[in-house]
Amino acid sequence: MTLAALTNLPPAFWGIATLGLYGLARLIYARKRRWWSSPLLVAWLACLALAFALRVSYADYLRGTSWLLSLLGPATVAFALPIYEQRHFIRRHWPVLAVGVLAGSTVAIVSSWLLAKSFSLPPDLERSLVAHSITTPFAMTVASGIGGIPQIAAVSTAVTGLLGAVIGDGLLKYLPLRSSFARGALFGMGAHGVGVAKAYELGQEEGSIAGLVMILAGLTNVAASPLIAAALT
Amino acid sequence: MTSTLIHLSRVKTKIALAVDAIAPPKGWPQIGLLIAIWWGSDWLARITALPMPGSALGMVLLLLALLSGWVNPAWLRQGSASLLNHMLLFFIPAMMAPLGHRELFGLVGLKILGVIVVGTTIIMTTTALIVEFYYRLRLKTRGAEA
Repeated sequence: MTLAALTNLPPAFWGIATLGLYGLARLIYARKRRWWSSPLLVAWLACLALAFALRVSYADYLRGTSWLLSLLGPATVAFALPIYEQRHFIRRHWPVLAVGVLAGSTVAIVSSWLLAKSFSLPPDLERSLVAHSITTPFAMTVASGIGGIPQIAAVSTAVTGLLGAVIGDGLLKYLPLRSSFARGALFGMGAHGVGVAKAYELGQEEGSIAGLVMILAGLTNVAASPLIAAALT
Repeated sequence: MTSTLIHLSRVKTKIALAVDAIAPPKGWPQIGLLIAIWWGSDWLARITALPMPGSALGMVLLLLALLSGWVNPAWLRQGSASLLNHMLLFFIPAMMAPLGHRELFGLVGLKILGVIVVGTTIIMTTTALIVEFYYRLRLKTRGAEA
C-alpha cells in the first residue's frame, strides 16, 4: 500500500527533489571544498540514492526533470561569453591553444576508442565513451551524433571529471612541466569542468587556459563528430 | 569580548557563504534571451540540416555577433554566468542513467571505470607533454632570434 503510494509520486516531486538535493550539495561544498565534496558527486549520489529508495523508473524520473536537461541548450550557447571575454588572450596565444586542443582531442578520441575496444565493451557503450574527456553538454551531443547513448556519456564524463582532478594532481608531481600552458591544458583537456576549477587553484593563467582548452576541445569534437562517426564504421 | 566579536563575524561569513551557495540565479531576462537564441539556432540547424546541433550553432553565431559588435556583451554577461554556474544541475537528469541501465553496476561498469582511469592518464600526460614541448621549442627559436 505505502509502496504503491510512493511509486505514484507526481513528476513534479522529482524536479523539486533534484533542485533541493542540488542546493544541499552546494551548501556542503560552500563549507568544505574538496574533490569528494563536489556538488557534482554529492548531488548525483543523493539523487540516485533517493530514486533507488523510492523505486522510481528512469522514464518517470525524467518526466519531472527533463526541463532541467533542456537548459543544457542555452547553457551551451552561454559559452560564447567567456570565449568573447578572452578574445585577446586567444589572439595572442592561438598557436599553443591550437596545438593543445588538436593534439589532446586526437589522443582522447583514439585512446578512448582503443581502450573501449580492448575491454570488449558493447558497440553502443564504446561510442558513448569516445568523448568522455570533453565537457558534458558537448560529450552528450557527440555521443548521440555517433551512435552512442548520451546518458551513459553524461555519467562517464562526470566520473572522468571527478577522477581526472585526482589523477591530474598526481601527474603534476611526476611530469616535468615548466609552463603554465602545459599545466592548464592537462586539466582542461583531461578533466573538463572539475579540472578547470582545479587549474584555477594553481593560478589565474592555468585556469584561463584550462577553461579555453575545455570549450575549444568541446567545439572541435562536435564539429569533428561526423568524421568520427565515419571513421568508426 | 573581542573573541566573541571575531566569532560572530566568522558566523556571519559562514552564513553569507551558505546564502551565496543557494541563492537563486540572477539575470532572468538575460537567461530568457539565451533561451530564445537557442530556440532560434535550433530551428535554423533543423531547417538547414547542418551536421551541427542547434546549441553549438547558437554559440558560434552568438560569438560572431559579439565579435562584430552587433550584440553588447553586457546584455548577456550575468545570464550566461548564471547558466554556466549551475550547469551541473542541468545534467543531473542525464546522470541518472543507472536507473535505466542496471548493467552499469556490474562488470560493464568496472570496464568503463578502467577506460576512464587509463584513458584520462594517457590524455593528460600526452597533452601536457606536447604543449610543454611546443612551449620549449618556441622559447628556443625565440632565443635564437634575439
